[in-house]
Amino acid sequence: MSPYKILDKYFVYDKIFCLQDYYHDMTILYNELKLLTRDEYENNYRFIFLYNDTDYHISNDTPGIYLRNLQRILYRLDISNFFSLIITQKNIKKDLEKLRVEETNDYCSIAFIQTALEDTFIPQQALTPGIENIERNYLSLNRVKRKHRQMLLAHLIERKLLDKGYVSFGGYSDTKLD
Amino acid sequence: MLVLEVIVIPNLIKIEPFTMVNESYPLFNQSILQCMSSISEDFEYKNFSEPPHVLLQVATTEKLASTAFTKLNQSVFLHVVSETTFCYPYNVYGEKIMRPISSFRPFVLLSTPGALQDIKDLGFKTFDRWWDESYDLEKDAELRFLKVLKIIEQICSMSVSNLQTMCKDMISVLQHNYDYYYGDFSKIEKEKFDLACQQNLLPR
Repeated sequence: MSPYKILDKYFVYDKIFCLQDYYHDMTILYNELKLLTRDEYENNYRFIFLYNDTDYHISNDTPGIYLRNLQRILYRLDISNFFSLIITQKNIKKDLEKLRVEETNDYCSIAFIQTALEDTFIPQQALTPGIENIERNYLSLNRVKRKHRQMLLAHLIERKLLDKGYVSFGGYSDTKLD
Repeated sequence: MLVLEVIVIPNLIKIEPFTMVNESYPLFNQSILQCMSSISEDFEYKNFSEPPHVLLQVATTEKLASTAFTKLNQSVFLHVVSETTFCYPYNVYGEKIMRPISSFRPFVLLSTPGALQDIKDLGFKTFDRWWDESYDLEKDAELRFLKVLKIIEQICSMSVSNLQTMCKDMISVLQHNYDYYYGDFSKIEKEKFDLACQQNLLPR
């Protein structure tokens, strides 16, 4: 059962918008929300947004760009922050208050619920500790080549530690070291 | 070079090229810079025979893919969990941290400062009895990275049999994390979520 089924107990909503799906073009989100706007909403009606992916931050103390865009869209469509709700892992209270002040004249900021619940792939549980199965020292899976993962791989190579572990970096061609 | 293109209607900011502060933090440590220059941008590597992500794509059942994951996850001692974010305003965690937990294995986090404390706040236990976890407090990205690397080096200096002994020594922590994840964790998080929903309906 989706962890977000709990929302059905308390709120009326048309859809849960996963913000990440609109990162490539947020005008699509604008147009979808525009179709749902009304003159009046039930007290427990909410526009609900999932905000679990990483955002773009110009600096570490500014709200994410896509969060700012969301606030602009809601303000532009005259959707009060009261009727908006963000589900996220992050404590974005300060960001939302900044955006309320900088982007709107609303009396309240968008509400958010911080939760570790997520609709993600749950790994199958091992049945026993299987300590006797340990054959290598560490595991490092790095499918997307992010900077810190690149740093890690470079140092594992330099210190000749690759053979001590199971390591992946990028795609899965049989690239061998020279 | 980053360009911010403002789209007039409805005044949304567009980022070109798409990137994140996570990727653009500066590096000053000469040894790190020198080391990284040895890897080209198109370098790729894999030294095990089961590619879990490929299996995920081609598996006809989720169980088949999960079984492959479990075997790989348990064949090692330490899981080096490289989260999506490393230099970023928020701690973001996902299924990556749940793999060692579901496999009875310890982990170190290559993530944002405070990420390990977040995991503890959720109810899980960590491994400060066996290695220095002060990397979690280190705000400097390079120093944090080097501290995590030191733990990996420490583990790599040990034989497999010594690691198996260490694993037995930490079984109470591993068992707690496993039992909590498959037991109370979801229940407690759902209760918190339920309460937050109720509070959202109160006048503001």
